[in-house]
Amino acid sequence: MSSRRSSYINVEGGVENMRAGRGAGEWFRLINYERLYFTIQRISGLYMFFYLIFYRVLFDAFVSPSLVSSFDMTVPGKVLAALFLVFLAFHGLNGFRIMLIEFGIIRGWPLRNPIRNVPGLRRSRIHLIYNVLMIIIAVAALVYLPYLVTYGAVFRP
Amino acid sequence: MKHDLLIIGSGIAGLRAALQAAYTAKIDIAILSKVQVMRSHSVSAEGGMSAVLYPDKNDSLELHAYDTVKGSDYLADQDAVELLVQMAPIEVRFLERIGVPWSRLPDGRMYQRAFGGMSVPRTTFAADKTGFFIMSTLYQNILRFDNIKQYHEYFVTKLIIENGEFKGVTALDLKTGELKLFLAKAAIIATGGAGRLYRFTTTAHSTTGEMLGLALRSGLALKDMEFVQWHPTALVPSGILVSEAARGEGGYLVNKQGERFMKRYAPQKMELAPRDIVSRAILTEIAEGRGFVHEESGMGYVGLDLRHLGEGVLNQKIPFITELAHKYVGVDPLEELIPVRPAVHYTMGGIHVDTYGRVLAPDGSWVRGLWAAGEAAAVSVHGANRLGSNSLSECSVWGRLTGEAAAKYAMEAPTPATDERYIKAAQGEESRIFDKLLHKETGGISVYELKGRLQDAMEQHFGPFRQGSTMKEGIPKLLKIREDFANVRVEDGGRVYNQNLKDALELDGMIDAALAVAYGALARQESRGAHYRLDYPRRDDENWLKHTVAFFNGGQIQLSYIPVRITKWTKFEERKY
Amino acid sequence: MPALTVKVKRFDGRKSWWQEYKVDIKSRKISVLDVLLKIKEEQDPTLAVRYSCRMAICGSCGMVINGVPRLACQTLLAEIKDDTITVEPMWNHRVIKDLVVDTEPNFEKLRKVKPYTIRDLKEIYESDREIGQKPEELEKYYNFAYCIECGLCMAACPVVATNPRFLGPMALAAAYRWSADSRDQGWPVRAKIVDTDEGVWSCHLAYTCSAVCPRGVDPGFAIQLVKAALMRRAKKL
Repeated sequence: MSSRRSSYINVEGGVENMRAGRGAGEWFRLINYERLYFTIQRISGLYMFFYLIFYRVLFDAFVSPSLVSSFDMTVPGKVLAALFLVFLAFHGLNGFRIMLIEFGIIRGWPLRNPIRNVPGLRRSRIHLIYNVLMIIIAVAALVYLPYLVTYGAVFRP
Repeated sequence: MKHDLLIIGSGIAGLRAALQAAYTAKIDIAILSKVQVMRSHSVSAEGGMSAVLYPDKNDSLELHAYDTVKGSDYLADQDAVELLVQMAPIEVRFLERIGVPWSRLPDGRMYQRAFGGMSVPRTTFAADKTGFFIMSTLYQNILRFDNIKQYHEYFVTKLIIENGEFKGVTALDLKTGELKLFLAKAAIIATGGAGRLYRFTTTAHSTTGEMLGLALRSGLALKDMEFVQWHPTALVPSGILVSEAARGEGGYLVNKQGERFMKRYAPQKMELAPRDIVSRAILTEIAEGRGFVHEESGMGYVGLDLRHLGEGVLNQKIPFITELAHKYVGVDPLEELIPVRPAVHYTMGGIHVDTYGRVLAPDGSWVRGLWAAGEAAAVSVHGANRLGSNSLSECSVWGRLTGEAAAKYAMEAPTPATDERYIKAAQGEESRIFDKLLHKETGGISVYELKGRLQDAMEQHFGPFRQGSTMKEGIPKLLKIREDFANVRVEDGGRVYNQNLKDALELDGMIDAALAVAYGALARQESRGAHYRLDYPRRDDENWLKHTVAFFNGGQIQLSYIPVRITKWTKFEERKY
Repeated sequence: MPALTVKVKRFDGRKSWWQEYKVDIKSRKISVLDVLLKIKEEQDPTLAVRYSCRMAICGSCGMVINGVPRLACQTLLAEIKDDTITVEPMWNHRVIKDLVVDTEPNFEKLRKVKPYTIRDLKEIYESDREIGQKPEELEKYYNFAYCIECGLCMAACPVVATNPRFLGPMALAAAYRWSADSRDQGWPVRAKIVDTDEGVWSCHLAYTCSAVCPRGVDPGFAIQLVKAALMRRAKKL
C-alpha cells in the first residue's frame, strides 16, 4: 500500500512502523532554539486563526453579537483575548525575524572548528541582538497585555 | 536481470569507470555494491592524488615514475607505471572539471604538497579529505546519466564464468533477501582491498576482500597477495587513520625519550620515507621498549608531534586529523602528542590483470568481458610497496581505462541469452546459501568468533615481521578455520536484511583470500618492500624478481611465477632514504 | 565499570517493540556503534545496523540516540551522561528492519536538483583544460561540500515530516553548493527547480538540520542563501 500523501513511498506492513514522527507530532520535538520559535509560530498561528476568524468575525457577524460581548467580559473570555494579543506580538516579531533572514539581511557564516562546528546563524551579531530584543518584548507583552485586556480599553463591548 | 555492463563495487575506481562508460556509449550500466553506493571505503582516503601537474623546474613524468618504481622495490611493472604517470595529470584535471574542490594557491592553480617517498611535492589534495570529496563529486555526477542504475546493498555471491568468458553474477539483495541473477556482456570488478583480514586495520568494516576469494573460486588468479602494507600512523586503539599529510606538512615521530628516531632508519628523508620503512622503524622502537603503552588494550605506540605546526596549518590544511584526535582519543594536537601505531592499510596484491586492466586467467589468457580496476586489481603499479597518494591516481586512471574499454566491448558484443544453465547455476547457488539459514545445529560456531580467530591468526603469523617457522604454524590454523567454516551457524533466520548471513558469506571469501596471502608469504624467501622476513632479511634480485600468481587447482592453492616487465630502470639500487 | 543498558526499538517487518540489552564495557571512550556491534556479536546476531567506516565519514550509521539524530560512530559514550542509551531508527523514514531505514526518497530528491556541473558535456569529458579557481571562490561553497548524505537532516526537519514532497535540506544544500561553484553554469536551471512550494519556500526555519548535521554543513543556512538569491533575482550566486 502506498501512503496517502505520497505515492512513491511504499509501506510494507502498514503505517505502524512509520509512527515515529510523521505529521504534526514532529513539531513537539525540541532540539534547538529555532525549533522552539517554529513550534510557537505554528501554534500561535493556528490559535489566532481560529480565534480571529471563527470567534471574532464569523461568530460575531452571523451567530450572535451579544453572546460574544457577554462572553468577553467573563474571565475565560478575557484570558482568550489576552492570549490572542500575546500570540500576535510573538508571531509578528518572529515573522519579521524570518523575513530579515530570508532577505539575507541577517547572516553570518558557518565556522568549521575541529571541536564543534558553529552554524552560520549563530554567528550573526544582528541575529543575537534581535533575539534578545524579541524575548524581552515577548515577555513584556506576556505581562502587560493581559493587564490591558482586564483594565484597559481593548476588547470592550 | 540483463544489463550491458556490470560494475561490482562502487569506490572511486568503480564510479569513475561508470562515468567514462556512460559517456562513451549509450549502454545500460548497473553498479552493484554491498553497502550503499556512496558509502564505499574510498571516502576515508585522506592524503591526496599524486600527479605531475606543472612539470616546470624540478618535476617531470620520469621522476614520478622513478619514485614509484624505486618505492615499489623494483617489483612494479614499469610499462604500467609509465602509463600511470602519463595519465594521472589528465585525471586530476578531469576531476577538477567535474567539480572536486581541490585546495588552491592564491593564483588559482592547484596546491600540491610533499608526501612519503616523493622527491618533489606533487600530491594534489582537498584539505585532507581528498577521497571523500572525489567520491562525493563522482557519485553526484553519475546522477546525471539515466543509463546508470544503482543497486544499493546487493551482495555478489558468485561469478559465472564459462569457457573463458564472463557471463554474469548472482547477487543477494539484502533488503528483501532474494537472490538475483544478473546477466551482462561485460563487467568491471572494483571491490577494493582486504584490510579486515587483520585485526588492527585502518579500513572500514566493509573492506573484507571476499571478492578476491570468490575470484579464486571462479578460476581467476590473484597476484602478489603477500604484500600487505602497514600504514605507520593509525590511532590507538581504534585504528582510525591519521593521514600521511600530517607528516607531509612537517609532523615529527618521537619515541618515549622524545627523540626523532627516524634519523636512525632513514637519515635523508626522515619521516617522509616510504611507508614500509617507517612502519618497521616504529615497530622496532616499540619492541625495543622505547614506545609508550596504552593502558586499556596493551598496545604499544609512539607519538606524532604536531605541536610546532601552529593553529593556522592545523585548521587549514589538516583539520580532519585535529578533529579525529579530539574526538576519538581526547588529545589536543596543539598541546600533546597523538598516539599512533602501524595498522594494515592497503593490499598491494589483487586480481591478476594486464597493463590495461583486463583480467587474466592463470595461464595468461584474457577472460573475455571481464576487467578489474582499483585496489582489487594488481596491475602491479605498486609492486612490493605503495607510495602514498599513488592509489587515488591508480583508481582513477584504471577506472577510466577499464570503463572505456568495457563500454566499447559491450557495444559490440551480443546480448547474453537467458540460458537454462545460468538459471540452474543460480538455483544451485540459492540452495547453497539458504541451506546455511536452515542449518539448525545448536552446537555450531558463531560467525563472529570464527572471524576473530582468522583475524588473530593473520595478525600473529603473517604480520609485518614474518618468520618461516611462525608462518608454517599459521597455515594449518587457517586450514582448520576453513574446515570449521562448514559448521558455522547463522542464527538469524529472517530473510529481510540478514546481516548475519552476509557476514557468513563474507567470511567464506575471506578465508580463501587469507590462504592466498599465507601461501605466497611462506614461499617468497626474501625481503622486499612490505614483505619482510627475519630469516631472509635481504632482497634477492636473481631468484625473486618475479610476481607470485596464486590460483586454485583442485581445491588447493597453487603458486606460479611470472616475470616483472622492465623497460627503463634496469639498475636495481638499494633503497636508502 | 557499571553495566550499560541499551534500549533498542526493533522491527521485524510486522511488529515493533523495545528491547533491552545489558552490556559490560571497559572504558567510556568507545562509540555507540562499538556497543551495538558488541551486542550483535555476543548477544543477539539478529540486530540489523548499517555501519561501514566507524569514523563519521561514510554516513551509514545515522540513528536517533537519546532523542537526537546522530551518527552512532561519532557519539562517544563519554558524551552520554547516564547509563541508559535509547536507540531508535531515524525519523521520517520507512523502517526496513530494526535500525535500518529506507533512504531511497532522499536520493531521489537529491537527483532532482541536478547536483553536478552543468557545463558543456563535451568540454568536461574530452578537453584537457584546467579551469582554475581562486581561494575566495572556493570559500563560497566549500563548507557546503562537506555533506556526507547521511540523511540526519531529513530526519530532523519538521517540514519533511508533514510534507513528504518537500525536497529537504539535503537536496537544497546540494543545490546551493553546485550553483555557487564558480565552475558551474547551472544556476538558472536549478533556480527554476527550487523556486517552488516544494523547494525552498517550504522551509520555515526550524534550523534543526544545522543543529544535528554531523559534519557542520549548515544546510539551513544554505537554504536561506538560496532564498536571498531568488529574492534579488541574482544571475549568479
